[in-house]
Amino acid sequence: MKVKVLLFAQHCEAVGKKEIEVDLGKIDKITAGELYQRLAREYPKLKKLAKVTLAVVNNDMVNARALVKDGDEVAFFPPMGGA
Amino acid sequence: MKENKQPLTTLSQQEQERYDRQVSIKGFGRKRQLKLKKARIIVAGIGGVGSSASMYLAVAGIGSLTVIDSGEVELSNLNRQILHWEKNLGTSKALSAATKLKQLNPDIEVTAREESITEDSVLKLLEGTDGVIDCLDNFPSRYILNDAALKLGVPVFHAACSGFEVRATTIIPGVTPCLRCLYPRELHQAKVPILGSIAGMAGNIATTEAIKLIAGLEPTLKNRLLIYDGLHLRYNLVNISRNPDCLFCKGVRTNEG
Ligand SMILES: [Zn+2]
Repeated sequence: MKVKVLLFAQHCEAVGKKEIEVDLGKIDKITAGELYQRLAREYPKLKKLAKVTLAVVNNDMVNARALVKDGDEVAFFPPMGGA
Repeated sequence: MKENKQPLTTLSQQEQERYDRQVSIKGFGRKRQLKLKKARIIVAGIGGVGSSASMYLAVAGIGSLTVIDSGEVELSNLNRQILHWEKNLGTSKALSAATKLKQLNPDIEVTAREESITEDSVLKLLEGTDGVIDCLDNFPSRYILNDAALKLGVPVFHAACSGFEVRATTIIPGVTPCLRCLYPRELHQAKVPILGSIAGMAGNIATTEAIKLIAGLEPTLKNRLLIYDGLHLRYNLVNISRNPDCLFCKGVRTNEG
């Protein structure tokens, strides 16, 4: 399966890209949390943000246990509090 | 500050002329302008976001505007906090803001509160208000404001920014997720980098939401989080929902309807 991952704020800075295509090969389903862990192995700067990470699947905010399927659009970002 | 002595039931000749260009928007009209005149709105935090939020609330004719900030103007504020000028360095942000807002629109009532949002002060500060724009610059204060607004049933127009990005949502107690449903954990940041024009956008989005809610115009950012990324030119409206386990808004009933 393949998914598109959008990154915002510190997550965008940690990866150095605003979005990435992730090819998960033969895997046909994965949770949002597992997907994040896989990305954090590839982009270690994401590890520090893990605890505050918010996940969105196909425009709905979800928890880490939510399932991601082939073709889904996922987004990861931190809370924002500046003014 | 001078009291607003004008009747709340009608628009004076001067007000009709002052607000003509918004009253003439299709679907707006004098009735909605009168609703703005009767409204009492608080702007919590007069930094970059609060500067633009409060200026546009003032010129839109929100009848009673209260600005809350315990801080003093610093040089590093001036890249974005456009209500504060170099001559105001070292002086109260709440007073600096209120003085200028009153000049922007002498037809409204402006009150300055040189106070911090604390657990002890917040309920009294929010009492009797129709809505509060959350322009605070730190999560602990934003959470205190959230919890008090839930208790009192006060709508919160949440606005935040970082770098080139804006976040905004409209929180209606008992109807939408609260700030703790949305962000159960805070992000610790000693200093948030912000471009002034982006802070201004965050404030203007929240103010537009407040004006719409008071005037009775839909749709709003209820149950949706707006993410705007000005660097990469991305705009997302994310559906958000109440966390059934949120200890803070569990059992909160709506004042709406
Ligand atoms: Zn909640």
